[in-house]
Parts: sequence; C-alpha cells; structure tokens
Amino acid sequence: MTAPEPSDLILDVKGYSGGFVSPAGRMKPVLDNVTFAAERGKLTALVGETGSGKTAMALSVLGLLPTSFRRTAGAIIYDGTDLLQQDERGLRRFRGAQISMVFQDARGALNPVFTVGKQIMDVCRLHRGVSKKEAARMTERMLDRVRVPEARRRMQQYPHEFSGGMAQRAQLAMALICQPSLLLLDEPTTGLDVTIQADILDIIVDLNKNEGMSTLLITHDLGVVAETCDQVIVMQDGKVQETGTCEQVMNKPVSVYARQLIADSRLEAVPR
Amino acid sequence: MNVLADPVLSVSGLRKEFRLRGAGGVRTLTAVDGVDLEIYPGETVALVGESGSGKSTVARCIARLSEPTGGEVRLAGVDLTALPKKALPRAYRDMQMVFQDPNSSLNPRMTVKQILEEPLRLHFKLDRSTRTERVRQLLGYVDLSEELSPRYARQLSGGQRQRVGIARALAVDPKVILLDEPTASLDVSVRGQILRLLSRVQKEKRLAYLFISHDLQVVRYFADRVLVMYLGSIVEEGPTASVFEHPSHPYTQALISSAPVAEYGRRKTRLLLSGEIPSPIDLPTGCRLASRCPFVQPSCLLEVPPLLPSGAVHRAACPVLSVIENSDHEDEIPSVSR
Repeated sequence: MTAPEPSDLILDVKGYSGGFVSPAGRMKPVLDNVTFAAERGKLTALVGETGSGKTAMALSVLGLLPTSFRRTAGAIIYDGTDLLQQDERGLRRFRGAQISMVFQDARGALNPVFTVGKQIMDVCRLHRGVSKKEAARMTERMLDRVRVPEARRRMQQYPHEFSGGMAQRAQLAMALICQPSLLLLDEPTTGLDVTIQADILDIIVDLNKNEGMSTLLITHDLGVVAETCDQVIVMQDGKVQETGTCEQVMNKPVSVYARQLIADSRLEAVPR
Repeated sequence: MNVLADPVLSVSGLRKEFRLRGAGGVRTLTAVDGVDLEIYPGETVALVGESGSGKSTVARCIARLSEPTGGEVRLAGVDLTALPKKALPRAYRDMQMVFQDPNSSLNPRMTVKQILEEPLRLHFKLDRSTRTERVRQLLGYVDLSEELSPRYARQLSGGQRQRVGIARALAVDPKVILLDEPTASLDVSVRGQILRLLSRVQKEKRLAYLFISHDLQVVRYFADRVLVMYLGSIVEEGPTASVFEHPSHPYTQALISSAPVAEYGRRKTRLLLSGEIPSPIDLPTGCRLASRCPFVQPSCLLEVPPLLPSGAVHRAACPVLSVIENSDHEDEIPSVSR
C-alpha cells in the first residue's frame, strides 16, 4: 500500500493539542498531539472509550467546542484549508455546507417546535438558495434516500412524533441535503436498538460506497467499526494510540491499548 | 445447572396492563402479556429484546416495583403475589436488584457507607460496629478500597458505582438478583470487570441471576439460558448456545443477525424486518410480529402462535419458519449482505 497523496486527504489533523481551562485558569489537557488523516471517499472510524477525546476532536473540526477550550498547538486541514485559521464567518462557509455533523441524541438535535420537514427545508434554503417549492421537493427526496417511509406525510410531523431511529434518519437527511464533502457522525447509533442500528449503518455504508461520501464515524463500539469502516484511528486519554486499515487494526493491532480494547469488545476474558 | 433442585424463582402467566385515559376514552397498553419463566440456583437466565419489548417491566413486576395485573411470582416456593404488602420486605430479602444507571440508582446525598448500611439496617438488627465491619467486608468483596466508604456516588467512576450497586444487592445475602442492563452504560474495559465480578459472586454464592439486556454479545457469553421477548410475550427460549446457533423465530434471527461483532471480515446475511416495533396499545390478534415479518402467512393473523419445541429444551413461537427452513424456499428470504 502506498501512502496517500496530500490531495487524497479530505481531513488532515496535525499535532493538534488543547484542553479546557477552568475558571481558576488551570488547564486540563484533553487532546495531546493528535495526528491522523481521513482519506477522500473512505469511511474512517475514530474509536475510543469515555474521556478519550474523540468527541472533542470532532467538535474541534467544526469549531463547536465551548469557549473554555483552548488550543495549544496543531492544525486541522480540511481539503487544503486550515480550519483553525478561520474566523467565525469563515467557518460558517464550511459548517453544514461542506462539513456536516450528526449527533447521538437525534431527537435532542431537532427543534421540538418546528416540523421535521421545515427544519430540513430551512437548511436547504439557507445553504443552497433554492425556492421553497424546490426545497420541499429536495427534502422529500432526501428523506426517501435515508429510507423514511411516507416521506411527504412525515415532513409535516414534529420531532416528538418520530421514533429514535426515524429521528436519526431525519438528522442524516438534514446533514446530507447540502451535499457535504465530509460527514461527521458522533455515535450515530448509540442508544438505538440493534435492528434499527443495523438499518442506519446500512444507509451510512451505502452513502459511502455508492456516492463516495467521505465519512468520519466516531464510536466506542468496535463491532460497528469492524462491520463498516475502511480506516481506524484508536484514541485513549487524548492521544492517538493506533491508526491503520480496519483489517490491520482489528486483526493485527500493534498498540497494547488497541489489543486490550479488541479483547474486551470480544469479551475474551469473561468466564462462562 | 442442577436440574434436580426446585427453581428459586418461578413466574407464571405474568401480566401488566396500563390503563390510558385520553380523548378516545380508556385504552389498554399491554406491556407484559403472559410471561412464564423459571430460574434455578446458580443459573443465569437472560431476558433479551428491544426497547418496548417489556423486558424491564417483567423485572419491575417481579420485584413489585410495579404491581402486576395478573399472574404468579414464586420466590423459593412462596407466592409473592398472594402476600400482604406488609409481609413483602421480609419476603423480598431473598431477591435484590441492580439497575442500569448507577448514577440515578444511588442516593446522591448518601455516602458509600450509608448506602451499604441501609439494607443492613432494614433487614437485620446489628450493632454499629458489626454493621461497619460488614460494610468493610462488602467493599472488599466487590474489590473496592475501604477508603471509598466516606465518598459520595458522584465522586466515584462509573465502574466503581456499579460495584457499589452490586455490593448493596449482596448486603442482605439474597438468593436471586435481578440485573437490569447492569453494563449498558459502561465502557467495554469496565464491562468486562463487572461481568467477571458478577460471575465470581455467582459461583461463590450459587446465586440465580435474571439478566436483562439488549447487548447480545454479553448475553451470549454470560447467560446459561435465553428468553427472547417481543411486544410483551416470549417468542423463543432455550439454552444460550442453541438459541444463538439455531435461532428459530424470525425476530430472534433478526436480532442476532443485526448485532455487530468486533471481528473484521465477518460477512453475514441480515434478516430484514420491515418497519419498527408497533405500539403495545390495543394489541392485534395473532402473531405480534406479523406486520414486520418476511415469512407472514394468513394463518399468522388468526391467533397468537404457541411456543413449539425446536430442540430438546428449546422452544419458539413460530410454526411457519420450521416449515420454510425444511423446504427449498430459502432464496426467497429477504436479507442483505454488507
């Protein structure tokens, strides 16, 4: 395998470090010299347990961390542009339009007082500048794409009328409506039932394989990783412990931590 | 499993209905619709199913945190549903519960010591020094340092909190523990530690566990027998290996084939169910899975299929699947490969 050209990288994180600053001014480091890359058109997994820094890393890409977070070093290069050099206005050109994010709690991520259809249409009209009628048509088509049955009727409903799985599809539709180049998924199936989880993962893999959607999937679940991803980055305590193809990491992990995580995921040390 | 012994817990015909008053008058939500189960000393029985299947309600009805609408719960031979409320605390000493979320099941205003002393105070007359000694033993038993006893739950890690929850259940020396998703909120590294602890405790005390979980990986490694629940009823039951290797109900097949496994390159075919679990309000007649099942036949809509033998001690409530699997129509089964 040859190393990917820089132009093949949709996201290139270099030596990124930072932490949260307490009101007293003390810094608690969260990310320590994080370096990894996500290739264009690939499904890359960012794996770690609680406190590994995986979500802080993803939020950093979109500049969504609270103001108490302070970067101390590094660069996050998206498609040739260092996102950390962008001001708020500059970042807005990327957020939603080029880089979209889907969160774990789908119903919490939707606004409870507007219909699901309106929320997706709003995103569509803001970023793509289309007419209301065109936005409605695109929204319906996108909901169809993520396999929401009776999309037209569902558009008229409010988030509380959606099950967790349906709300996650709606959130995916909202993320995809602007045809982003990079999709960030933060634990998109955690808390969903296994059959629903498998449905959502099928959609994510389908988007990636058939439409070449570059995807960064953040998860704690190595089962999800093994069944979906091309590339894997394993994080622990704010540090990257291992990177490689899914096959390399799952079958021949190099770091002690990745080995342990895989063994724990397979319940190898649990007696019957 | 000692088949000669009597079951330590036996549940028969357990029902739980909720009456809902709304604009359309009173409707009935049937959360548990006639569940039977038995657990023997030293055995782990897993109750699996997705949200809305009623598995947690079964545990809550057994523990009488929720009053069952009908059915019988026998603990060591005593019918708990026939006992007056006043007699319940003594009867329930033999059965304890460990909950999913150790953050909300531990009182935030009590120290670890107070949490562990409470059941001792309620069930036994002990002097203070004996109680303190017992708390010290309990902490040691679940591998927690004695230094944690003056701490509050918020000062502990998730794994430590779940150990406190287990120690609290063990404080009164029960015969049965109901484990409601005890590892669901834990990281995999901690999950393994808690399962090892539960396994050790079970062997040493010959405890019976009712293990409620949606994590099929854990169930596969941890349980002796599995009961699969869907919309309030048990649709399949049998020894763990038999159920996982030869699932005989479409719902069980869908569950097992959907559960992700941390192994690279494991190609698998997934059985697809259409739609999502329907509302448990005004349940339809016939098989509960009929609206989602790829094998549905007209006869499925007429009556609830009974549990039929699918092996020596393995039963499943699907008369259709056994016929299909013995014919040549397997290629017609809707499924996807990833």
